[in-house]
Amino acid sequence: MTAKKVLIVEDDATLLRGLKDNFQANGYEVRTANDGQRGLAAILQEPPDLVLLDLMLPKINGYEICRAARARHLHTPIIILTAKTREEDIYRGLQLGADDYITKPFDIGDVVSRANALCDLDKACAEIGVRARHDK
Amino acid sequence: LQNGAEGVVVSLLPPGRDAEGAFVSLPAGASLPDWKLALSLKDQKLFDAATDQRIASYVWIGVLVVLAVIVLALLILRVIRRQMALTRLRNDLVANVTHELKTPLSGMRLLVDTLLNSEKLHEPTVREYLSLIAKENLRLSRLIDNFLAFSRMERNKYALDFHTVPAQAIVDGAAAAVQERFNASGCHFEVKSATNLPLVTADADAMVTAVVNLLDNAWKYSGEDKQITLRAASENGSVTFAVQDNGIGLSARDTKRVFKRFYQVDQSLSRSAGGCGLGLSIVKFIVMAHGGAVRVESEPGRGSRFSLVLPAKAAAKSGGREANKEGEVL
Repeated sequence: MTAKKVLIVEDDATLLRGLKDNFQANGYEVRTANDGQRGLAAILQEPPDLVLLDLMLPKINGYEICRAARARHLHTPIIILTAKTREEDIYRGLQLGADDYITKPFDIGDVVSRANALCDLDKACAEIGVRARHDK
Repeated sequence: LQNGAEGVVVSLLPPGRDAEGAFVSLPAGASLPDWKLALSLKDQKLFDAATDQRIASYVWIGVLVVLAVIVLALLILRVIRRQMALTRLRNDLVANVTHELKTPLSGMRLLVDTLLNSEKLHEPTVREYLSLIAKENLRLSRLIDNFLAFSRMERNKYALDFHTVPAQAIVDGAAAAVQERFNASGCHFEVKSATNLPLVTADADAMVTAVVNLLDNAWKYSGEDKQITLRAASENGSVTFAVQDNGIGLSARDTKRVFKRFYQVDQSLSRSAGGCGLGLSIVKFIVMAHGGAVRVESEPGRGSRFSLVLPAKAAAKSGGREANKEGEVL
């Protein structure tokens, strides 16, 4: 069984390190990007199985990454991980195509569980030939 | 029958005669039926002039009232707009503060949880995590210090404790505060201070905060290959502390606004190192409270030089330092 591939787009070095170590420990193959430009390029070049996405990123923000990925018909599950807790931010993120929205500080067990659930859902949908989400 | 006084003519008119030019005509009473009493002016122009004057005064009053209403409306509009801008700034500040506090807190929680939950972590990884937690802790402390300083500033409660201190002590304090972070790879940090820097009358802690804020800013807005220099020199009875970087620089417009509260040149860039646009406004407040001045010279894409100028204490010299660590004497 091949390892699930996760791309973590986060500009805070400490969070990036902690997330990377935890996802690796949970059997994921991890790629990282510390700004929005690199993150979007990584998603488009080699779509991962899951994206963990911060919103306030240098160069290109997380909303734009979500919008750009969905505009190119990429159906990779995206979990937004952010300190922005306002309802309008959550609504905007989900409307732009994110599958889940988790606010910082978070429980790492919760993040990994949700990531596993989304990957499983995506895999199950692919097996029966159904898309887990619609084009935006 | 006519009787004239004060330019007014009172006429008693027999029946059948009309009073020409009378402005009032009344029946004369029961004893003189059909007779009329009429009031007219000797000179009609006087009446016209008085009327014109009255009309002019009404017109002026009307114009003034309209102007006053317009001015009042503009003032109210300005107050409302200022209030709205203030509310927006306050909301943004709350959102920014929340965001900036949560980021280091999230990092610390994630690493602590990982340390607690992982049964077999290698010793170097544990030490690395602890060092990252310490770094985030320091970052959180600096943020809180800046928020508190800003809050005290806003309430005019920022009390400075002035003493006679060597200017060199301020340079040393600021350099020591950032030394560990600035010694990281990708950052070339130099301290160049002149020999015989004079004494200054200052709150040393506050001045160190001001210089550290400039250094933090230089760090924040410089790219991956950071060249940051802290200089101190004495000239014409004053001491200049200057921080130079090779960062993104400022446009002429940004240069004018950079010391304003909440102002950030590049939100996305500043985000990567934290901050709410308060650092430079705190620097300006502290330096102005010392009777000093702040200056900024910058060129977009080439970097910035922020200078703080403090008056030196007259006729007194501190020991200073022989030369900087690079051997340069300014």
